[in-house]
Amino acid sequence: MTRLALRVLRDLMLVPLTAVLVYLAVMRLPYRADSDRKIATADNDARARLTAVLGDGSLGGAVEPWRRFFGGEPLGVRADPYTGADLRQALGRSLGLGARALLLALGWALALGVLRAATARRKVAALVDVAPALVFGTPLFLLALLAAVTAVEWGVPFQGSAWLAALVMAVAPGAFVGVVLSDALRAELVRPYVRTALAKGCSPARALLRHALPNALPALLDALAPVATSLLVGSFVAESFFGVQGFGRLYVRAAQDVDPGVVVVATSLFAAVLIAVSLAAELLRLAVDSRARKAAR
Amino acid sequence: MNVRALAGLGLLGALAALALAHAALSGGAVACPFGVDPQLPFETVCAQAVGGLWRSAALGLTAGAGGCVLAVAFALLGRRLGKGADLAVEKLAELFFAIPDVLVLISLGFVARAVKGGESVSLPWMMVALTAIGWAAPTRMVQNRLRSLERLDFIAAARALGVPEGRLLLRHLMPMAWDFLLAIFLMRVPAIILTESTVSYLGFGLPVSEPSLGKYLGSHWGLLLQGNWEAVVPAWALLVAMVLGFQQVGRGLLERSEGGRR
Amino acid sequence: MPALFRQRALPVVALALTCAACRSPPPCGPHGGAVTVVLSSMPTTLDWSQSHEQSAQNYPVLLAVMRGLTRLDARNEVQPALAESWERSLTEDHPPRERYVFHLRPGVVWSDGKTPLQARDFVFAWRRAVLGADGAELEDLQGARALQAASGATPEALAAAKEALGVRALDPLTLEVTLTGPRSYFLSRLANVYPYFPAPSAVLEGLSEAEVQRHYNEPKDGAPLVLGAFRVVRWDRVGQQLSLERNPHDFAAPGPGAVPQLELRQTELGALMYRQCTADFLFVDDPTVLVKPPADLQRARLLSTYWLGFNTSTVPLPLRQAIGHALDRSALLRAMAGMAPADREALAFLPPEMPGAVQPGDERLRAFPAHDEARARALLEGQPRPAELTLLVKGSGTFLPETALAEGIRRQLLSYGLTVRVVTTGNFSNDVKAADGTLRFDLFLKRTGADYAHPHTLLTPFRERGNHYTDWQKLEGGAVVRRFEALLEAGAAEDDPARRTQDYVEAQQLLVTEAAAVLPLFHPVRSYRTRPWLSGLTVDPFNFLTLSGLEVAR
Repeated sequence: MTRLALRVLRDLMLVPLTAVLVYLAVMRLPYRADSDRKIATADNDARARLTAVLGDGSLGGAVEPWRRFFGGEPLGVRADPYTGADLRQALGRSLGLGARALLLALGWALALGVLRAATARRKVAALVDVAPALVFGTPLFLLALLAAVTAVEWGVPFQGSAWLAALVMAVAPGAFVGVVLSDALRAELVRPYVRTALAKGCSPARALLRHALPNALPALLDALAPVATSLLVGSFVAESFFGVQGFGRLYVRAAQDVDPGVVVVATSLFAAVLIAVSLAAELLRLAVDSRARKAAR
Repeated sequence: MNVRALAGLGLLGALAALALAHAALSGGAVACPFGVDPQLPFETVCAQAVGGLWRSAALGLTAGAGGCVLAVAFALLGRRLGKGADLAVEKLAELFFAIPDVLVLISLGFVARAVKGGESVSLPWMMVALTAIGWAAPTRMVQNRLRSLERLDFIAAARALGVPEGRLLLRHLMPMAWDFLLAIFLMRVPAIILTESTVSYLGFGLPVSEPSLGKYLGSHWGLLLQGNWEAVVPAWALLVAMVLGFQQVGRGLLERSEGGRR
Repeated sequence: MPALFRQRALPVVALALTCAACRSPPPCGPHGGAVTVVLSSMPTTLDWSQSHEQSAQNYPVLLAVMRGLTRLDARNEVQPALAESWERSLTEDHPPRERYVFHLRPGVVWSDGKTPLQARDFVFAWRRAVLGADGAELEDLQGARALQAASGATPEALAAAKEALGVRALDPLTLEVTLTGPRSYFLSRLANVYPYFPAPSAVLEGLSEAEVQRHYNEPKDGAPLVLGAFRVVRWDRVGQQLSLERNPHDFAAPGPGAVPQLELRQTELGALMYRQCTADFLFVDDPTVLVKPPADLQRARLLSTYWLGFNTSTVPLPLRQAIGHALDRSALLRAMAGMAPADREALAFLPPEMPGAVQPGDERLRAFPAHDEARARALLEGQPRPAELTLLVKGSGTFLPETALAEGIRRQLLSYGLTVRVVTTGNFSNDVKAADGTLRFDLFLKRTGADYAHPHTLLTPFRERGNHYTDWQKLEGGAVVRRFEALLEAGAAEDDPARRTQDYVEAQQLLVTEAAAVLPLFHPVRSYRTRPWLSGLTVDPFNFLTLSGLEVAR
């Protein structure tokens, strides 16, 4: 149990460490003032404005962005900066979007996994394999474009549509989990207990769904971290494309506009999310898998 | 060679033939059936698509190879320096693997914008960046493979006979890992191409005047909304075909390499 | 079965796409509800006195919710607005100052329906605006520079400088304005340039600066108070949406088809929204659309100039002149395949539609550089060739085919043995200079647009402290730019139109021909799509979206 506690502690320590490192690095970059005025106005000291908002770039200054994030105060050097409150609102929106996408991805993964396992030895297997291959071979923004154009044809409002964005985000992680699941199912299907069940007159469908599937599900835990990664990247693209004002979009725009405050907060929060997911996967594994529990003791 | 790998190889061969044919015909004798690039009217859609194919392939191949070389170097270094170092390499690779490539590339793009200005990065810059972030996944795979090879009987026998460690590595272990390495390399190429295209779509890629396929699609997709298909579909088809080709060859080789082990 | 659906999803979607391409869009008929307008960029602030560095994107909203002392009519001539009339005089000082007395329109109230518009609303707003981000726009006011200089001084000094600013309320409806000298463009500037708009001093006086900014930028319960056709209901900055409704207390009574509500939003999917009939106005900012223009495409001829700028510190004069003659602008525009207006090639800097500009065919245009290959080669003869010239150009956030134009210029100059490397940027003003002010590129491409109908606005960037990015203020130790400033000063003070035109021609010749600091390329157009049943929704020559007169045509 102490080893587990140590592991949790170590992972949690990574979050503030990342936040400080990102802050120190970002504050060391050069920033210039941005102005499209015809005549220059005297006060154009970008560095001074930056320091006023984000601290002086020293170790102690690293708390300043977070104070502003939690206090809801302006967090940028632009004249219309995003505030901490804006960012928190966007974060909530993105988490909701991620949850929806996860749900859709699991649904589609389960269906694809079962179908792929069920057709493993038939001629249609190659056809079933084409779907994930095409999904992996197409950049996400093109899938988003397909979805948007289809939505227009069907008269579905797409602008700011969280479900449509979630659907697009779910395609790639769903295909990935589906392939992992079907591989695990295929491995289970050739094991003696399944063969025994089949020999005793259990129908193949029942053997697949009632016997093999429950045993194959723990394999999904390994897929959790890649799925989180995939959803995160998906949120960058899908939010930008569908105009969902989430965190991914804010981050991409802040990086495009060279807006250091948002970049510091966003990068650190992404790291925290990824660490939390990997920790959750580990804890889930301990809860589900007795062998892992033994190893941890 | 299995069917999957052959199919992938066929696809890649067809792409290469297409690119070579375009190079041979682009003297002006045959007009591009898709017209000129509406964003850069000095170039034809064909020239942009084929140019993008070369640049995307170059990015994928160099960064894929670079990542694999780094992976082998790290894995061997860890092995050479002892168990602690081996574990450190593993943990570091795991940590890096957890960070999405796209996130790292956007952050690097942000730094490039702040430091040197301009919104696009050069091809060599992109190659280096993609190599630098692409070592983690292959490192883990190479480490695992080396460890499972270590357990084979003849390695233990060679070690008992007093074969020096370096010789053991170069003469016995590595030759067994070649086709596995090739498979990893080929699997990395499409992943890198897709990563680059996503980053390009988000505005952190190569310049529009010298686009990769991803950059070209990322800056031209709006044309689809106006029903201008001929300017977009060629690049789209080439990208999907290339990614599929590499994926299938890589998976085919991996299946063979794993099948051979069983 | 979701999986089954998705197994077939790709072909189904592909089919749907094919149909999308071939089917004609559904008709989007008139409706009585909110009109949705897709903007290319959302406002950065609604605080018209404080303003912002990126002020251009605030214009559409601020012009819809506010009015100035004057307005410009369809022929760009000054007409009364909040001011009913005015008198102009020159003071006895040496040199003389210009003095205006404005008589405000009686009975005008702010959008709460009770606060009357008063002369001190201008005094309050302008004192704040001089210290704001667009303070340079008000520098013609007597005492403005002194007030800016006093911004860091003691409270007493600051208060004194505010009192000394050349704007006074003589009585509730009479405003006196004193300028540093005669400024023939002042009345035109009052119409459009929003830092000159008044503020509801009765509500804002006594509030802290932060509270004043909240009044503008966090709309609720009728705030901010406005005087225009619309008032702001909701501003979702993160969500990039702004909702406006008719201002019931607007002194200009709306027509029978007046649109009750306006939704302004920014999205990359504007074209799809327009197709889906969920948007009624769309800027067509992707120039490639113009290659196959849709039937309802409109083009606004802008009082703008797109020009090639030279870093005069790194590109020597003969080379600048050679490039001026080497570039074939009409060939460049023709090569753009419809993305740039082939009939709007520029020789002088000012577009011919600008009041007081010389017209095509005028002899004086011969003094400006034109395509002349032999002369270009002669100028290049014996000149050391730079290994490479860098050219900075906007790659995104522009409605012009800038990347293609840069590539065209690169190709044209290559035939003269000049190698150009194109660098695209999404953040031009940030990238063009290093932190210490050194210019980082040899050449650059830029558009300058007029803010009001007077030559002065387009030549303003080339003044000594202007953002011209050419280093031409260093030429001959500053003597060149001082001659330029003197010509602008003469033009601003000149009452006779013909002599004023001549002053501005000489200023342009100095800039374009003699110093060869810039080369005008063409005068852009802005393209947009709007429903035929909407009237009054247009883009004006200043590239401002006009919303005030928006009506559903009967």
